[in-house]
Amino acid sequence: MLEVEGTFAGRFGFIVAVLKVEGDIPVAELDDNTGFAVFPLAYQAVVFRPFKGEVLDSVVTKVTEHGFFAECGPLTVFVSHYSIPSDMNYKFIDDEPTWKGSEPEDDIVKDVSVRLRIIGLKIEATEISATATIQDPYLGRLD
Amino acid sequence: MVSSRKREDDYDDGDEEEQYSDYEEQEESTRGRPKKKKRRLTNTLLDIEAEEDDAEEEEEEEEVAGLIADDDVHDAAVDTREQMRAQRFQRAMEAEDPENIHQYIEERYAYHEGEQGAPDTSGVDQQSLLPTIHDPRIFIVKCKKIGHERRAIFSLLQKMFNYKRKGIGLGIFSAIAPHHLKGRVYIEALSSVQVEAAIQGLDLFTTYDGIKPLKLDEMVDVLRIGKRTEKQKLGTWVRLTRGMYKGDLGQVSSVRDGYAEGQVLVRLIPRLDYKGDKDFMDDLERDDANDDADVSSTRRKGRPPQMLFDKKELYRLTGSADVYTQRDRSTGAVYEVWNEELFRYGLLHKWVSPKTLVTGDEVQPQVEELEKWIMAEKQMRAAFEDNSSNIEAEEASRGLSLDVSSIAGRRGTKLYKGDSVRVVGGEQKGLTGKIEALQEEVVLLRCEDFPEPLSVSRNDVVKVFKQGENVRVASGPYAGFSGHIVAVDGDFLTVFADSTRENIRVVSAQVADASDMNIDYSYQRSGAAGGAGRQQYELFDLVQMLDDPTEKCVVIQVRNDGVKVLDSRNNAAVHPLSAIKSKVRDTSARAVDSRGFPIAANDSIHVVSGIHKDRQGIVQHVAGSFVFFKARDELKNCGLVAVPAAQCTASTAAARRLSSTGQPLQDALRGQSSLPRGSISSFGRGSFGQMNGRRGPPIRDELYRADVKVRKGQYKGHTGKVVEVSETTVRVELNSKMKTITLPRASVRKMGDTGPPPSASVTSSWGRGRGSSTSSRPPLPNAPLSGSRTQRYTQTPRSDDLYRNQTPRIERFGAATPRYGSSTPRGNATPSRFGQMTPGRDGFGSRTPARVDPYLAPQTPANPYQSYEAMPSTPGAAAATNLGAAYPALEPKTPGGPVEPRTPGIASFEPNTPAPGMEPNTPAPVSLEPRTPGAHYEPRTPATLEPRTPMVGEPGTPHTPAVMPQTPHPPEEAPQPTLGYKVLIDVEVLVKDEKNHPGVVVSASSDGGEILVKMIAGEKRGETIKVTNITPVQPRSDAGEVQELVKVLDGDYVGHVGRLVHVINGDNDNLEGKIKFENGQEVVLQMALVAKCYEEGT
Repeated sequence: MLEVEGTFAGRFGFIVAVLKVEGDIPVAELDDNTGFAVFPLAYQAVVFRPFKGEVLDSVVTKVTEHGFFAECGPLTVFVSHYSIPSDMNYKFIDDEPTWKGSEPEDDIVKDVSVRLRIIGLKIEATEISATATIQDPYLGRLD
Repeated sequence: MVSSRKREDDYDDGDEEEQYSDYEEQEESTRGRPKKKKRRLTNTLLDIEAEEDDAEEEEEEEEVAGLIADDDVHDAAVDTREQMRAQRFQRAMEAEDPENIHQYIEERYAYHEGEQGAPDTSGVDQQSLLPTIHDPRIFIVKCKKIGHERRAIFSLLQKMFNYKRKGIGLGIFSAIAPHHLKGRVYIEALSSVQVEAAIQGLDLFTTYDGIKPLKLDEMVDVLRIGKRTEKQKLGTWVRLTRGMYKGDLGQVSSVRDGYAEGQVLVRLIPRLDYKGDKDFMDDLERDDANDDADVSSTRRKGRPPQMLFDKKELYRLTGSADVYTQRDRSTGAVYEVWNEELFRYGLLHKWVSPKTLVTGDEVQPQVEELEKWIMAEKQMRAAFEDNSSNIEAEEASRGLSLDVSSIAGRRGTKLYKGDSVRVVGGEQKGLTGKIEALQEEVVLLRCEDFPEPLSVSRNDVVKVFKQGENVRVASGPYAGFSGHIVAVDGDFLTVFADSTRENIRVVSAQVADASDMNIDYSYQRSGAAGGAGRQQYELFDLVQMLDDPTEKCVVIQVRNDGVKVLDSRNNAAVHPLSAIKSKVRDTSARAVDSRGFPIAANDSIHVVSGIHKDRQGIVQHVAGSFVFFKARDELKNCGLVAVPAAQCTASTAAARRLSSTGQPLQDALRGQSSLPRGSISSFGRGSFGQMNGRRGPPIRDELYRADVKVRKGQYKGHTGKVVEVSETTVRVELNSKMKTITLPRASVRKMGDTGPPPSASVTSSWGRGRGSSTSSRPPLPNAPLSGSRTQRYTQTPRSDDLYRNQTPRIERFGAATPRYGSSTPRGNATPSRFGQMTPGRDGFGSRTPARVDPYLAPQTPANPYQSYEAMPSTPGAAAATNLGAAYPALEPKTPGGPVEPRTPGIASFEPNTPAPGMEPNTPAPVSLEPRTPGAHYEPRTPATLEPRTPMVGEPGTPHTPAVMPQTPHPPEEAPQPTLGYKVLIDVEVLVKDEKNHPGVVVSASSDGGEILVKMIAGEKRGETIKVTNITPVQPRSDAGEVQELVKVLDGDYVGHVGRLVHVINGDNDNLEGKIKFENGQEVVLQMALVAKCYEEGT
C-alpha cells in the first residue's frame, strides 16, 4: 500500500505520504500479465506539486557549462545559463565546475543551496522535471 | 508593330492564341460586350480580347484582330466553343440572310449576358464543347528555329495585317504556339491548303515535314497546360536544385519574363573563393554543364563556404578589388559586379531559371542558414541607414525587404487554438495574442489590448514561445526532441533537450507545445518520410546487435540512418539499422542485485559498488546481468547508465517483500542450482527444455512448436508444426508437404482447440516469471521424483497454456509426449518437489503449514512422498500425467500461478480420496478414476476458488498464502497432526460432495481422520464426515459493514475468534484481513488463515 509513496502521480505531483485510503477496498482484478491482483484505490496523500513561478530552495547537484542542476527534494530542476545572470561565468575553480558570480559567496558549485524560481514544468506520467531561473532579485545562492 | 507587341507579350507568361479575321464589320458588336468578364470569352473570328489589365493591349485590339488567351484548359474549351460559334456565324454570313444574322447576334448576346453571372461550366458542359469533325482542324507546322515559335506567330500576324489592308483574308482561324511545346506551331484552319497559303513566304515556318492535321482528341491537349508553372513572387523563399548553389536557400528578388522562359533573380548567400576564383568558376561551369553527375565531385572538392560578399575582404585577400558598380536596367537597382557576378548587400544576385527553383514546404530553412541571412539583413539595414531612405522605401514597396522572420516563422507551422502567436504582417504587425478560433485562411486573435478578437491572415502570424515553456520540435533536423525553452531570441529558440541534455537551437516555426498531441502525428509522418530508424526503433528500446547476439544495447538516439545505442560497457556508438538484430522485450527479465533480490525494469536501484557507486536511478532495461538505469545526475547518453546488476541494490517493493521473508532469491537459487549470480532471467525457459537460455517472444508463445491446422487460405485444412512465431505471423512446417509457409496468426488454429484463434497473448507470462525464479533445474525426466511431480501435476487442474502444452489433447492422453509432462516448467516449480528451492515458498513456509507439513509429517495423507508411492500403483499413471491438461475450462481463469501452490495439497489429497465425481468433467475419465479425488473437486476449484486467487506473478512467494484459501483442504489437513481439529469447531464448512452442502463443525475427534459435522442444511445433519472432505468457508472479502465472525485456523492466533473488520491487499498482494478479536485486540492476518465462523442468524 505504501508503495506509492515516493513516486509520481502524474499531475498530482510527488506523493510524499499516504494519509488514508478512501472508501472500501474494491474487488480486485487480476492482471493478465503479472498475475497480480490490482485493487483500484482512492487515497488521500500529502503531495509535492511544484508550480510554475514558485520559488523553491534547492541543492545544486551538478554544474555544467549549460547551466546547473539542482534538486528540490524529489524534483530535479535545471537552470540554464540563459537563466543565470549574465555577470556569472562558467569556470573551473579548484577543479570544480563553477558558475562564478561577482562575489565569491555567489559562486554556484555542487552542493550549495540555491533559491530559484520555476519557469517551466514538464509533467509526465511518472516524472516531473522543471527549469528554473535565478535571474530575479533575491534568487541565487543561499547561505 | 511586331516588336512592340512582343514586348508587351513578355509581360504575359502564358501562351498565346491569336486569331485573325477579316470580318471586321463584326468587331463593333463584339466590342460591345462587357469587357470585365471573369472568363475571357473570345470570338475567334472577330474580336480581340486582351489582358484586361493591359491598357495598351486594349488600345491595340481595335486595330489588331489578335487574341491573347489565357493558357488554361478552361479557356481552351471556351475558345473551342467560340470557334464553333464563329463557324456557325460564318455559315450564316455565307447564307447572307440578314435576318439570320440578326437572330444569331441576338442569341449571342443573350448567351453572354446569361453566362456572365453563371457559374463555371461543369465538366459535362465542357465535354460537349469538344471539337467535332465539323469544326476546323488544327494543323501542325514546324518552326524552323526552335525557341522562335512566337516570332513565327508574329510574322503570321503581320502577314494578316498586310492582307487585311489589301482586303484579303488569310484563310486561317488562329495560330497557337504553346509555351511548352517546342518547335511547333499550331494553326487552325479548315484545310491544309489554307494553312499552306498562310505560311507561304514566311521564313520561320517550314513545310519540310508537311502540314499534319491534328487528331480530334489531341486538339484539346494542345491547349492544355500540363502543370502551371507558378509565377515566382517577389520575396518568395526558394532553394536551388542545381549548380554550385544546389540546396542553398535563396530569395526571389526580381522576376523577368524571358523570351522563352521566365528568369528569376535570386539572391543567395554567395559561396566565394576570393583567391582561387578561376578554379572555382570552372567548377561552377562544369557543374552547370554536367548537371548533377558532377555535383558530387564538386562536393568532394568542397564548395566554398557560404559567406557574404565583402569588398574589403576581397581587397585584403587578392590585393585588388576588381569590382565595379552597375545599375540594372530593369529594376534600377545598383549592383556590385565582381567576376561577372552581381552582388548587393553582400548577397549574390543570380539569374536562374524558375525550373531550378524549389518552393513551398521543401524550403524549410534551418537555423544555421538563417543566421547568415540575418547577418545580411543587418547589413542591408545598415546600408539603408547610410544611404537615403528612399532605397529602403523602394525596396519595401516591392515587397523585398529581407524579412527573415517571414520565412523563419511561417514555414510548416500548424496553428492550433490556444497558441500564442505574433502578427508579422499586415496592419496588426507586431501584435501578439492567443488564437481564439481558426478559420480557413484567417485566425481570430484575442489580444489583450482589444476587446474584440481580431481576424488576421493565417500567413501573417507566427508562433511565439516564452522561456521555460515545454516544447517539442516538430520538424527539421531535431524533429522529435522535446525540452524546455531556455532562451528566446527572436524566431530562434534555445531548447534544453530532455533526452540528450544539450541545448539545441531551433526556429520557432519548427516547434510546438509539447502537450500538443497533433505534433505526434506530424512527427510520425515526417519520421515515416525521413527515416527508417524512426519507424523501427524508439528511444530507450532495448535492442540486440547482429554481430554479437549476447550484447544488448539501449537506443539513446534515433536517427534517420540508424540508431545510437549504449552498450553494457557504457559505450555509445551509432549503428546502422542493419547492424541491429531486433528489439528485445525484457518485461519479464530479472537480474539479481547484490543482495540477491531481483531487479526488473522500472525498479529503482542504488549502486553500491563499482565506478558508479552511490548513483541511483530507475531501471530502464534489464539485459542479462546488466541493468540500464536512468541516473538523474547523468548528463550523457540520455541519462542512461549501464551497471552490472551485482553492483546494485534494488529498492523495490519486491525486494522489500522478499527481504521480509529473509530469504533472498539469490540464496535460494544458489541453494538449488549452480547458476551464476545475476543471470536468472532465463531460467524458466531453460527449464522449459526446448530452448535453453533463449529468450523472447517466440518461446513464450503458446503457438510455438504447436501442431496447428490452417484455417484459411490456400493451405486451408493442412496441418503442421509452428516453427517460428512473431506477433502477427507464424511459420508453419506443413506435415503433408515439404514446405514451410508463413501465415497470419489468425489463420491457424492449434490442434484440438475449438476456440478463437490464439493471439500473441501472454497468458503464460506468469508461468514464465515464476519458472524463471523458481525452477532452475533442467527437467529430469528420468528421475523418479520428477515422475511423481508430474503426476501430481497432472492431477491439478491446469490449462494448456500453463503447460505450454501445444500438443493436441489426443496426444496428451495417449501419453505420447512424455516430454511435456516431464519438462513442464510447472513441474519444476512445484513446491512439493522443489520446495526447498523456491525461496518464496520457503519464506512463507512457516505461515503455510499446508505446504510445509506434507514434508514434515509423512503420515499426513497429503504427503507428497506418500502420494508418490501411491502413484506407481495407480493404474494409468502415465495417462494421469496428462490429466492436468484435461481441464481446459480452467485456463482463462488461472493466470497460471495459482494452480501450482494448490498442487501439493491436492496431490497429496488424492490418493486418499475416492474419485468417483471427477469423471463428468474430465475428458479422460478412465485414466482419472482410480486416482481422482471426490467430485466436489471440480465445481469448487474452477468456480469458487480461482477468482479469489489474488497474486500470481511474484516469483515463488506471494501466491502461496493466497492459494491456501482456494485449496482449503491443505490448510485443514495440515493442522491436523499439529493443532488438532478442535480449532474447526464452529467453523462453517462446505462438504465436498455433489451439492457442496454447507455445514458447521460442532465437534471434532482428534484421532486424525474424522470430524463430526453438523449440517445446517439439515440433510446430512449430524453425520460424521472425514476432515478431508470438508472445506472451511472463507469470510467474504468484500464484507463491508457486515463484520463477519471469523476464526483463526493457524498461526500465532490459532483458535482465536474475532470480527473481520476489513480486508486489504496486503504486503505480498495477498488478501489480508484486519481482525478484531473479542478482547479488543486488532491484528492483521492473512485471509488464508481464517475461516468463517457460524453465527446465529447468518
